[in-house]
Amino acid sequence: MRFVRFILSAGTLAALLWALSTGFTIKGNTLPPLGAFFNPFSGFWQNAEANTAALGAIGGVIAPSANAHRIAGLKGKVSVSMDDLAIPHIFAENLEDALVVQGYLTASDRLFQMDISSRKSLGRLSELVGARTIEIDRQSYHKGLPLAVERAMAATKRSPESMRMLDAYVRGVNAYIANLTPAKYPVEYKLMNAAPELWTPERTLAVIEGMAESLVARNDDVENSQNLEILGSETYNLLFPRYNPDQTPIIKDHGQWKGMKVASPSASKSVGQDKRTGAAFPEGGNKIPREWDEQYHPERHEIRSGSNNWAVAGSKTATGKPMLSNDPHLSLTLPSIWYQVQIHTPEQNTYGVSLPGVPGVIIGFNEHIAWGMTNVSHDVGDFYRVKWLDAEKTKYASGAETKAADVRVVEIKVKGQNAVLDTLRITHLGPVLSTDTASAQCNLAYQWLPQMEPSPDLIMEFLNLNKAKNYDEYRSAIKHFDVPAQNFVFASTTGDIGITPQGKYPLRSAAAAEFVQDAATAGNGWTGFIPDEHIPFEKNSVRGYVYSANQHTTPPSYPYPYYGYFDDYRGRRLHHRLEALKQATPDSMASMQLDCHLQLVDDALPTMLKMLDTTKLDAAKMLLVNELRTWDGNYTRDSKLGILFELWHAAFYDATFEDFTAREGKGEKVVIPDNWVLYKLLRTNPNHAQFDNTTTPEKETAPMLVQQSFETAVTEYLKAQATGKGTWADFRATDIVHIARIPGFAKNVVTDGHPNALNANKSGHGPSWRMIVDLQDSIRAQGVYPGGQSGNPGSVHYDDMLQHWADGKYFESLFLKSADAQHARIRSILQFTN
Amino acid sequence: MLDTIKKLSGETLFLIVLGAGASFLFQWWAIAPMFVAIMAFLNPPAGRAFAAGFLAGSMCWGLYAAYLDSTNAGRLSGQIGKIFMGLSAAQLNYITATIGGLVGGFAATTGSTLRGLFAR
Repeated sequence: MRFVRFILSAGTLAALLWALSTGFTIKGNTLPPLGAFFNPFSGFWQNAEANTAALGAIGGVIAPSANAHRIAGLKGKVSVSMDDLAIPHIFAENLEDALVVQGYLTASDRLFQMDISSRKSLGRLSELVGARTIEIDRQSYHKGLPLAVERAMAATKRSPESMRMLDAYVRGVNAYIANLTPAKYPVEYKLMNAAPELWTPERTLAVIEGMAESLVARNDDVENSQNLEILGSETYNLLFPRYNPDQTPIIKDHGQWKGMKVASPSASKSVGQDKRTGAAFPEGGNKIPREWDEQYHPERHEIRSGSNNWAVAGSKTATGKPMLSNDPHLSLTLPSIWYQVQIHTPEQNTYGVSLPGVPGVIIGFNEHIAWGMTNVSHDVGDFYRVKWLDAEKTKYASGAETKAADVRVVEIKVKGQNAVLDTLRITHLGPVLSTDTASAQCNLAYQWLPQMEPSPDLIMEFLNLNKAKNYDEYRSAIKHFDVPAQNFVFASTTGDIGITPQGKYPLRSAAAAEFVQDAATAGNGWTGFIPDEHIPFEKNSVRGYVYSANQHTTPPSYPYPYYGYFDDYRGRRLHHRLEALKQATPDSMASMQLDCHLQLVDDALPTMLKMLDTTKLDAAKMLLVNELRTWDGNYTRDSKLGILFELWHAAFYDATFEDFTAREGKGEKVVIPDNWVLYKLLRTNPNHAQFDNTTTPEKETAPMLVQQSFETAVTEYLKAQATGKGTWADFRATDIVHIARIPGFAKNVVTDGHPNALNANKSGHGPSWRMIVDLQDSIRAQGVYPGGQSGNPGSVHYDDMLQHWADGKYFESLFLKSADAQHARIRSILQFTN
Repeated sequence: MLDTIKKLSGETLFLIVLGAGASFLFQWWAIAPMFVAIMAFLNPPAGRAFAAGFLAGSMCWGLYAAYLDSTNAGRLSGQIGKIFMGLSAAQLNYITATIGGLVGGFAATTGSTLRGLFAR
């Protein structure tokens, strides 16, 4: 009996412990093992940071203490002042030590984010997350991202200084990880029942390549080729013009390109421009594969939001000193894509935002200069159709030659199941996009700039920019920056302003950039790159400002072809605001960053209202028309007419381009014309055949579509008003998702803005960092991002800047001059030593 | 009766102190071997052992979790609750206490019955 009681009791205990140690899968979701997860001594409760302590501690993990924290290999002492937003201000005796501590502190706040964002480029997400990311990993391999990391590593190894700085940062991250007990793992690891692994230099490069991927992975070659084939060259040229004459390019033509000797004749526009005939496929017919990968499909129906930056000269400011502004529009995630930091050494004093996983400051300022970035939207990826010569698809034609593809089998490790093997075929032009030999995608090779070996100074470029003291040092720091090409805006306390769209720009014809090419006749694809000395730039513009909003870099007089994306309205709006700017203060800069006026409204609404036959409208609709007539076109959070215009525009657009939307309806990926093309056609040729819906017997004209779409829009508008979506903020939410899409860790806020206004807000995408720098002799700055310094959802610093950001407020950047500087906002001081 | 309550309280307190100590130092299941050993040593009747173990385990886990949650003002538990079908902070706390209680209770009973095997 005693024995039975013991066995029963011990057996129950054993079963209980087993059940609590097992991660069960319910409806496809794997639960963490509940024993470890709920245990308050080591499970998720440990991530519930005490609010009071959090004000002084970093991520609640490193407590301030009388004793210095020890990190092996530090050459001197490092002191860190933590401010009220948990922003570290690092004071070191040399840059290497500063980077060690930057790595250490960033890891303490953002370890999981660093892990996830580096794994994506390495094709290693599934190893951590499980089967649901296999497709993402597979795509990473087929785009050549792990290959890009490999090549970046090889290049960086050739620069001893880059390696030294990179190693310092890695040492700091690993010093933190080495001291980490499971109880202090970021809560995401506990949910995933996983552990962080040690950081490597490759991981840092993977973060950089991941950023490049998110900025330059867009590609329309297949869709453009399809459009050309379906529409014919006349309609294609009308609906997809390469340049909008109304737009205001980043660099103005001052005659600086006269007599420029173009580097390669095949890249000159005279050859490329007229080749919009689909001649790459002389066999004609429906030869472009229609199946296409989500990943490469641009979401054309949604307006792409981009970034803004500008600098104004003293002639336009109240103080007579320049000001600089930057708001990069990127994915809005929690934790934020950015991490604020100040780095002070005897050689530099730099403040700004860093990318978790990457040493140094990416966007910011020092005691002499400020800089910011927006993406150059010039296309740096091309597709080539490969003609395979064998059934296994290992050999292909290139000119008269037969080439063998580099066929590699890669292993994608998957948590909780066997690894998946995938076959990569790498042609001399780049990897092909599918493993499946039956898929049309298997016949497309992708030549993409990030796959090329980058400059060996990838790491040093930003570190040199961080300490640049003047215009020449700024230019010299970025001169080898290659990918993703960025519009580097600049201003200095000595009064200089400038902008450089710096990057590596492949030389090829405009047609090659725009359409799928034939691998058999394309040779090596690109014939080189635009020479450094031909890259456009502007210094101390007579206009008193320099600016960019991802629009065209140059007017058509620039001798190299440009093929890029992004609607132009944001750039035009910014241009208007800058032209009108006088006696600027930081507040006027903020009012521009927060400008939610939609330039499209100015372009479209007057013509649409004029065309509307008001005799056919009832009193209720007339009321709305009258309201629209006096509407300011501002997309504030409480705007109602913004919804009406949005619906009217969408309905009119869809009715005009119903042939495109019908193709989309059939599941095809379609590139659709830009908005400005529609309204130009409306103004100049309202009887154009494009307005006729060929599927109806009637011949529609623009006024008819304007009328019909208004009726449709009003019906939907009234429905929205009746169903609690009455304001712009209700109509479109601004969600800030968690980086691993864990639903409980996401937030949503109410914001002003529109994807194509300067305040380019849309769900999950928008101003990821708003920075304004006033370059007086003693530099002052303000900034905000939608999140907080800590990656821990249990910390007050997880989202303590979010509401400020949503409300259009800023935090003054605490720019300390020395380690012993006193300030009311300093919450604690941490010491680090060897 | 009073005597039983006194003994139960004493045993529970003893388990809490040593259980919490073990939990801070070792794995999440640290209270299991600890309670087995303590109850094998103290040798209470199986029923009282379970009661003491359950009380000690649930208090060890539940109270500590409640303390951490209160210093955090429920910030994290609110978000974790959303992942677990919208559970409230209090419900998460009950689950925590129950897990601690069950492990503690069965471990204590196992200790007591183990000792029973060798009783004369």
